[in-house]
Amino acid sequence: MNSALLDRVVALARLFAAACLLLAPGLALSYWLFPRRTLDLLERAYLGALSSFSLLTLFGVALLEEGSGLDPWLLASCALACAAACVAGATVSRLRRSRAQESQAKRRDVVRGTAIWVRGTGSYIPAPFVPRIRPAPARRRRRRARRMRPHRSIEQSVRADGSPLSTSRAARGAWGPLFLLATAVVTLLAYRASAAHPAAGGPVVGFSVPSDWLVDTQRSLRQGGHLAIPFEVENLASYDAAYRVEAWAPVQDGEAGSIAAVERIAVAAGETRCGALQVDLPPRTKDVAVDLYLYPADAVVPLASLRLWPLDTSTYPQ
Amino acid sequence: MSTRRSVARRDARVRWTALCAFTGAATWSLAAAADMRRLYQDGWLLEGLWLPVALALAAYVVAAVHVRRPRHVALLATALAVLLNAVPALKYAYPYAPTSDTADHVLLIRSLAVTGQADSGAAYQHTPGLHLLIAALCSWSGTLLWLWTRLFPPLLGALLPLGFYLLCARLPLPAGLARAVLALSPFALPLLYALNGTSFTAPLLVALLALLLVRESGTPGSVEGGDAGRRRCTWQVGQTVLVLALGGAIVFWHPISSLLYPMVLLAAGTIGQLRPACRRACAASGALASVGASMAAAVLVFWFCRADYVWARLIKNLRLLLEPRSTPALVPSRLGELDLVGQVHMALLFHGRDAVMLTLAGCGVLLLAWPLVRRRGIKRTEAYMYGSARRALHTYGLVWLLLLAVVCGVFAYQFGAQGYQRFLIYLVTLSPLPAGYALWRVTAALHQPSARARLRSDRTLVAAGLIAVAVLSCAQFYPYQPAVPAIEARAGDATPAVWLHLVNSEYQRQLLRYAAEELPAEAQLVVDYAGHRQARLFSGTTLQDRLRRAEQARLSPAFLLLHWPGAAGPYMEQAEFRSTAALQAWRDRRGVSTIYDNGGAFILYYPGNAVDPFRLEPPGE
Repeated sequence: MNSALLDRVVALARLFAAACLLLAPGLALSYWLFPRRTLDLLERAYLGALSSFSLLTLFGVALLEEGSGLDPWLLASCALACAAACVAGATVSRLRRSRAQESQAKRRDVVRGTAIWVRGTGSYIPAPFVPRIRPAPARRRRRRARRMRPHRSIEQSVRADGSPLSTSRAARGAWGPLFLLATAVVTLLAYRASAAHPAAGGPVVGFSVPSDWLVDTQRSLRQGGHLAIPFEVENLASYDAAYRVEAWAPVQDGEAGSIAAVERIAVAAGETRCGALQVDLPPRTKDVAVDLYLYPADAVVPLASLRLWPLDTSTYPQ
Repeated sequence: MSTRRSVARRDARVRWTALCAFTGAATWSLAAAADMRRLYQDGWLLEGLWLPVALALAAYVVAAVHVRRPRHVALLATALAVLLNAVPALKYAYPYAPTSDTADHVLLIRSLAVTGQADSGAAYQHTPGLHLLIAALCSWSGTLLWLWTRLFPPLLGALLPLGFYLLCARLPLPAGLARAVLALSPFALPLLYALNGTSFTAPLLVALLALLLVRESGTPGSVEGGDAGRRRCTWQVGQTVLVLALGGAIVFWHPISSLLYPMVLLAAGTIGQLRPACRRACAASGALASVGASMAAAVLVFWFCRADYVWARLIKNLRLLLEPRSTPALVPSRLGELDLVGQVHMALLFHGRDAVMLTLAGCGVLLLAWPLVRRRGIKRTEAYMYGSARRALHTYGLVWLLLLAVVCGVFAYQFGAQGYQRFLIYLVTLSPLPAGYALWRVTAALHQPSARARLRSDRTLVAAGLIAVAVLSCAQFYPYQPAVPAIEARAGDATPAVWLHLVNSEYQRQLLRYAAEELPAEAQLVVDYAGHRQARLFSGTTLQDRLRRAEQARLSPAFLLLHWPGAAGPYMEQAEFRSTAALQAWRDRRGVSTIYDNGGAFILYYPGNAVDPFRLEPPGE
């Protein structure tokens, strides 16, 4: 297995573990508060998620208020401890409930006439030793069942008497999600195989005058003569690239023209390169700006442009 | 002539085809969006993704009207709710929207994840509920901050259909009504792909109401043995614990929601307790009032401990509420300049989904209230519901009406400003239940001669309603920027009336990084509204002391951080200052140097006194 795939698997496993940590205390609490078969899967997921968000929020705020700050791993420990406590509570209450239910079932059987108590001894004699009460005729049973059915209500995953649906039906129902999962996997594989993944886009270059040199450069422009204009090119793309930089200024009759150029400057991906344009300007100029254009090495459309005005303190209100 | 069995078989075929199509289209959408990680603003949120999302929506409508079990409709709706929000959230590399509160939320999450402390400069430092969950998730999973800040809010969208499912299953509501409510629920979600406090707490309002109404009116479900009284007691204890925990969590999730929810619950509970007739008609009013009072007490105690928070934030928020113009206007100030068609376009882009949901929900509330007003007996269609379910629906309708009154009041007071939209989000989130009730009552009223004709008319009507809501939801969820009418910013220079498509671009990130690292530490940086927010999003509070909004510039030289509208992101300023021609004019001004350019964003330098950089006039002009 190559390392990239392994990294991806580890990342996915960590994502899954984080999601489990987030949901664990709420689900455990919901099992404690609402025992088995009182909620269906969706309801339990919903109440579990709500409980988790609430519990972790309260824990987290308590940790923050405590002063030492939010330690995510302490929060995870709190979540796991809470989950363990809820599971223990649920187990204890389930054990207690089953004892109580047993005695209630016995009492119900006695009432129905399917068992008898032996007075004074506490003994319980269940069917088949006690004759059953004759069941109602089928038509009456059907009518009663129709009347007792929840009226146009949502079907439950369990029968009206609390027993779960049969295994075979549950097994048949499991094919649906499996089929849909297979559809999702096939679609994903087909997409991965066929799609030309679009580029992320965004800027490919940052073009600037170094701020340390900005004022000096502007003052030099004011004085005129031969001077060097520094610049920086930052390659923001994910590939190496080569650029061309040109300086333009009014040359004749106010028409702008190229006065200097750096023909090729190669910059590796993610790197920054500095350079300087050697220009000759008329002295004592304060109304002429110099434009710097950045082109790809073999293109005519600029990627970015800068403009530098001579700095003359008398012309700006201070 | 088809037999009953062949009809059922054909139904099953259609259902399974639709489900498979939905699964495939949803997987395709998510995979494509996750692959894009787009770093610039394109023309449309669904650019490059519209086909799979449209397929998924179409398959959803077909499946939702053919699936019979409400549980399966709830599952479908949950999947769609997550899909609608996750696709745009995953498509862009950074969290969506520079405006609103996204930047403040990300700032707090980052500070919690990195230092474990709430940044004192963060607006939500005293309500770090959701933020600490996301920060913990980042640490546990070892992933970058950007992933969970984009993904977690869309996942919260699943809470809304599940909340309605709990309500429908436990009251219990008729299956037809439950299907309609659940099918509508994904379209009632706020825009969860943008990190916004009001949006991510809105599903909790439904959760709170559902738990309260179910606690009072709901059936405990079947358990293994045990007597009914004990079952009911266990059920109510569980619900009470959850309600209290949730109420406590809401206090730490969002300040305005924690203020609004107790007020609404308290008001609804009080109205429900006013007269015996109200008590008979509304369920759980006592519980609503007591939970509302408990939450209000918790909020007051919390805020009492946070006096600085109250004075610093609450008063400021109230001031903002009372001064509508102090926040960027959502509705463009020059809306009146558009022709009627343009204004209708704008209205649909802003509130198309809201309008249709509120209309349906309003009809539903009227239908619910009509028997109470007429003081007549329960009709046959209403007799399908148990009395407790009907009373619970009345209470729900009452809460909806209270929120409607709040929205109308705020809208009348500050038309076009930001405040009303917050309350509209709460209202629309609550709407699927009354809206579904309206749809269901209409289908019930259409008497058809045979069961098959009835089924067909039911499906047709629900499908028509779903299609209308889905289309308008897409128009509002994914605003198509080219469809926004243009206005004239200057002579011959048109610009969109408003930017609805708000992407945080890499251009802006690089610009702000350059400003933070390369420009002199004492330099004054003047930015537009979006840039001001993005500085918090990308750089935290490191730039905050140096940043000035244009109208707050000081008497000293200034660097202006600007960008071209479009690929680099939107502008939120008035049209006159954000058109391409206006920005070009700025770059061409004499004395203003351009010292940084990355193709989409640039930095201008003005060495004089930048009192108001958008208006300053260099000498000689």
